[in-house]
Amino acid sequence: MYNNVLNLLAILILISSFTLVANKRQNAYITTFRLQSLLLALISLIISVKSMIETKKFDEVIFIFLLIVVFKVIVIPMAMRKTSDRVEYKVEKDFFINIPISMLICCGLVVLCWYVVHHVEGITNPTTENYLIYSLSVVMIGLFFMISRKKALGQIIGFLVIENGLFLAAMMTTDGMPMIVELGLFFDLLTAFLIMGIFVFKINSTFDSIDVNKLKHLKG
Amino acid sequence: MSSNQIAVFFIVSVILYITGALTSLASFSSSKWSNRLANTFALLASSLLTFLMICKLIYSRDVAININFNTNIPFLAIKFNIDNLSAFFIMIISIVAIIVSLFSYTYMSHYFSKKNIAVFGCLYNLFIVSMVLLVSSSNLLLFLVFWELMSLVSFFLVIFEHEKEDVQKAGRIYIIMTYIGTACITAAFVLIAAYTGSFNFTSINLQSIPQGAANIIFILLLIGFGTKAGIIPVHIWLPYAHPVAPSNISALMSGVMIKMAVYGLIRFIFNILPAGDLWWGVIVLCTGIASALIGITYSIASTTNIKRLLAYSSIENMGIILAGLGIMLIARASGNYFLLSLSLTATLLHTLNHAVFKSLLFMGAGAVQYSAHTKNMEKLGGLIKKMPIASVFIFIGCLSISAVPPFNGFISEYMIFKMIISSISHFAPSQSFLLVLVLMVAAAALALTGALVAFCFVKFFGISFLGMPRSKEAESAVEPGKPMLVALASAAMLCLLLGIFPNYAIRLIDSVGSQLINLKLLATDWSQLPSRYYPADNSILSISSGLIAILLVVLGGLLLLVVMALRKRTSIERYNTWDCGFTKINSKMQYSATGFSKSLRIIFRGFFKPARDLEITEGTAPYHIKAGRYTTSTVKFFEKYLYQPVVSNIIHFSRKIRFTVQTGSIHAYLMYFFGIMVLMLLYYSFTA
Repeated sequence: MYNNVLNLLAILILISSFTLVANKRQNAYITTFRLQSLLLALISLIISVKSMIETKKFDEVIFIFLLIVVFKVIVIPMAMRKTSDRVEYKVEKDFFINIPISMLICCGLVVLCWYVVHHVEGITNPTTENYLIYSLSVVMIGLFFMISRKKALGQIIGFLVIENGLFLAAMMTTDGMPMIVELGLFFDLLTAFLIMGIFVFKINSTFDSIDVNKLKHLKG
Repeated sequence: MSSNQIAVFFIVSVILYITGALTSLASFSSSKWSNRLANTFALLASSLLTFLMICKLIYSRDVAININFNTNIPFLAIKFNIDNLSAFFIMIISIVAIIVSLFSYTYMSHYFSKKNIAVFGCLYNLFIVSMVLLVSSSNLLLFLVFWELMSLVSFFLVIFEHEKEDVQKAGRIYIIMTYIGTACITAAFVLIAAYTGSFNFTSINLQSIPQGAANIIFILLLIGFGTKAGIIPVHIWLPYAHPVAPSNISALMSGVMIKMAVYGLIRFIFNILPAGDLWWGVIVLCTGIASALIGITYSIASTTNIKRLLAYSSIENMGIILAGLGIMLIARASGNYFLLSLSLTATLLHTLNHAVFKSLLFMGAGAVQYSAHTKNMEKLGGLIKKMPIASVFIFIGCLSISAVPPFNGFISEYMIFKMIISSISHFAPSQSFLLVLVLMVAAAALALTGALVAFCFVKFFGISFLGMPRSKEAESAVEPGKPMLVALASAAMLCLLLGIFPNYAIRLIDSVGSQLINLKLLATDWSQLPSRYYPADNSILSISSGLIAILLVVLGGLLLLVVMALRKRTSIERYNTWDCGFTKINSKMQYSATGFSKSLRIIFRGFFKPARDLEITEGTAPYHIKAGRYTTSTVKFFEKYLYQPVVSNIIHFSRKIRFTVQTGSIHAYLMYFFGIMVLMLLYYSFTA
């Protein structure tokens, strides 16, 4: 039961990243990201509750659940929505590669990840292998998303999705990393997000658009 | 002296150098004081080191001096080991450093209030100490660290007058060539370490390097050290860097720094690499001879800058030293140990001699530049009347480098000739026709080089010091200050002493040979017979310093007698030189430096491709010229046909890369990440 639920949630996260690639509007990216983060928070909640029931002790993973809910589900999407409202006043085509081909490429990436993880020696548990495949796929899809989108918001979301994939891998395979590592990762993420947010405004004020492709003109 | 004492004094002198560097920096507010402090400490430390190393070479030749510090850095052990070869090179460094430091006392004064003397003094001391530590280090990585330090510090010293355009260009060429050389050396070291599993000289096992790898290592070392030595065709930095550096630095660089390459080659080829094939020696010999011949022709034909002329002449001398090294390798490969020992002696002796007379000549050029404010020979002339004492010393330097007895250049070049001739006579019966042919061509080329060197220094001395001054600057030249004269005098004295008493220098070198190749050339006991023939049992190589000295005295006396006898019968009448009916003789009627060397340019016209161009700026037709500009030019063969194509290709390629790979698009950069990641994952899963 427990494993089935976790498996389902992990698959849902993978599907949510496919949804992200399929999204056309920038506001939709934010909603999808919020959904993905919520799924991640659910996974961390389930893991922490299960370990608390089993060991009858307090488990730190519950903090991770709180952090994810506060930052990834509420604060970051809100900030991002604000940013996009302030800088985005026209809707135009945002991707280099059209949606169907993007989906096919993402499928290819999942197959690649399956192929790679299958060759990793030392994974005895088949469920762990599955989790690794999902999370590595999420990372690869996040990177691909960064490449395929023109606007700066796409890059930020892609970055956050990569981060989600890493969290997923860490949580599913180790039942939660040490607290200090998690906190460090979170601060890293927040700082990166802040800096990128500032850059979006800068790019917008310099080029009248947040199309990062225009950064080419900066080159001497 | 025991090895412990020598080690302690060695550390003391290193600390003295570093103190010199620091105190020079600390007294930055007064140029005068930082110059004084830097040179005084360098002088003290170098004197101590000279004394120490001569003691070591004579009295404790069988002890090796080890200084070790423990570190936690993997592979890098701070290990210094001064054996006789290191001691000999430290001696060369410190002798030249003594003379140059004396020279710098007044030479640097014309930079006061213009440049930062404190930094110069600091770098000067660091430069010397890096070379001293370089030759004493016994770990490959440590060697590399000091090699880099030496190269970098010398680069900063070369670009001391960095506000000038040509200095910047010279510095650029120098640092690029230096790093190409260092790259080759590093590659060779990595190969050595890969095969032997250790970076320490002592624990390197000769047998563990296979012959194929040894060949590659040898070629890499030859290119790497050859770049520093300035052998052709990797010489191009030398004629740029030497003229623009301050003269005391040129003296150190040409006298000592390029010798570090000789040290490196001898150390690694004889201590680290297994005995190679015959072709190693043949290659080294051929490049050496080519460098000697081409270097000296460049020196005569393509420049009127006195320091550039000397720089090209350094290429020539390094070529001769390399030829000696080539004979050493040939001798080792063919098992002729007498020849090996003889050629080692000749090579090291020429290294020492070149260090002395080349630093003398560079200091002389510095003195000329100091008092006449120009390096261009076409603007000099008549300096012998303005600075008579300095001229005498510079003349001695010219005689030494032209291998005129009884000065030191003669002895070593004579030995190198003897060495080639005796190797011909060794190989002649063995039917190896090609090798004998190569050796004979080498001997002929070396003879030609000797003649051209004399030509070159007739040009150098005749144009700059004799005749009439060609410019206002030359006319207003004065004798340089006392410390400069003392430095020139001591170098000139050393030239003379090494020429008359070469056996003492050979005695020092013999202890190098006895340790490095386990052979003693000298059969007699030196402590009992201080001025016997050398070597005692080989009459064809005998040099008797006593006889030379007596001969000199007798000849001098005879000459004096003849002059005195003739003088009585002639009456002296003073009048002007006959001027063919002109009203006045002026300096334009003399040979110019360019004109003097024209014959050589015509002989070697295939190589130099001399061109002339007359541009009429005023007046019509070729027959009514009122004013015009006449230019002659020669082609720099290697730069044009070897470096230019490579450089332009690299620039072309980088330009292309800039527009295709470095697009500036974030997506492209992310794409590279993505691509590499996918490739790595695929690679992993295919190999797993």
